Amino acid sequence: MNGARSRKPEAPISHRSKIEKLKDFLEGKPLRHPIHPMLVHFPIGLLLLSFLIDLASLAFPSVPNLVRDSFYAMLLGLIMALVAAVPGLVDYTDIRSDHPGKRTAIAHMILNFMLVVVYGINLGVRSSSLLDPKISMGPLILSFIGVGLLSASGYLGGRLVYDQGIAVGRHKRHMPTPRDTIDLTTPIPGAEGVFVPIMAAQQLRERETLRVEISAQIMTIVKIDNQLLPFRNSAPTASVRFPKAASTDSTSNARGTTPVSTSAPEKSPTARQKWT
Amino acid sequence: MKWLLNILKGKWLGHPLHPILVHVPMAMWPAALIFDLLSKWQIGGNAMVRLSFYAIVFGLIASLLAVPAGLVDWTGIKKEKPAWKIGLYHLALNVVVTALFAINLGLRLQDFRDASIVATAPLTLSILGTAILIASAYLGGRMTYHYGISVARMSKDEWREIAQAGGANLPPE
Repeated sequence: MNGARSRKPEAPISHRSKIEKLKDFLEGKPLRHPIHPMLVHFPIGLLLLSFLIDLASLAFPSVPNLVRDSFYAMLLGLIMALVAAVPGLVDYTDIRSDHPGKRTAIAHMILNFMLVVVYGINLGVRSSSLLDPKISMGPLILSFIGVGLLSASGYLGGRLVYDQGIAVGRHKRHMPTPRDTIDLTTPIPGAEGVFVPIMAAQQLRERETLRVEISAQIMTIVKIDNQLLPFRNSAPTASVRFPKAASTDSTSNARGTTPVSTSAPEKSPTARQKWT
Repeated sequence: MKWLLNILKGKWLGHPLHPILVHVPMAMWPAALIFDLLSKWQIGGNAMVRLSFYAIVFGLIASLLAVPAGLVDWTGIKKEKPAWKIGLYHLALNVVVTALFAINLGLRLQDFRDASIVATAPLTLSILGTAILIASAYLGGRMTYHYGISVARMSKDEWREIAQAGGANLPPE
């Protein structure tokens, strides 16, 4: 019944500590644009260029400096990959623990780690033969593997944004988002209008949100003017039936949320389960 | 015709195509500037001059591929939305940047094979082009991260059905 939050809630934007300000900066909030997707252009472009120059060195061995050019492009690409990893990790920590994007992000991170290792080895292998007219087989194969990892990882990164909405509109929020979903069950399964106490709601500060799952129904609880307001989230699956939508409320924090109940007693934070 | 639009929108990939393709010019042209500066500071010599040349070529090829995909994405935005205007600025700036780097490439054609230091005119064009490119790319990023253009486009129909099932008051398609 008692869903204790596993992590300490973050302070609102106006009372941020130094470390939280650094986190905001790395998430690109002052720029109003996430930083990781800005920086990843460089490793993607440069490592791809390096591979193309490798291929060109096979096709045109008479052109001077190709092997060296490829090395420099790869070196700059790897450096930028490491730079991009820093805001990338910060973005990762901000994904709610049960968000579908979390798994994609983990796969994206593992692939990136692998490609950094592959390109590190690649640079080491080719550093001794920069003056060759043609790239040798070993580093070429490593580049091929590297580009494969890069494409897969870049695709997953894009899915995170364009399918799962990670970092989209994040800079507009003035309050931290819930870190995880509190999982609760109703005392009487299938019954209507059952009170389910949500202990963690007691710790909510003004305008903070809580995400709760009660017997597969997901709702958001927000504290506004010292009142706890529950909102029904848009359903995660088409099988969930909705109540008829009430008039849109300006306090709904996400598109598609529908208020199910207007208020809850202030001193005993409970959310009334009212769906059918 | 519709199949071509779907290819350009990236439906087959489950990921919009324009943001994939723009990684190349967005990386290549600032990198060309970095290589130019390195050659200017006499690090790397002719290898850097050539690398800068290759980077500009690769960027130009990819940017030409990114144009149709970008145009299709842009025409999908309703004209009254703020993102439409941003898209227009993004488009105009991109035309300027691409033209600057095309001229830049033309200036390099003659001596990139032997020069060990980049000439002043192409270097100036690289600086100018990169500055405008960053502004343009920022606008492109804002369309995604602020206005949500292309976000969840692939699953839009699915979400619409779910919302309709819930009795939501949806605008006409």
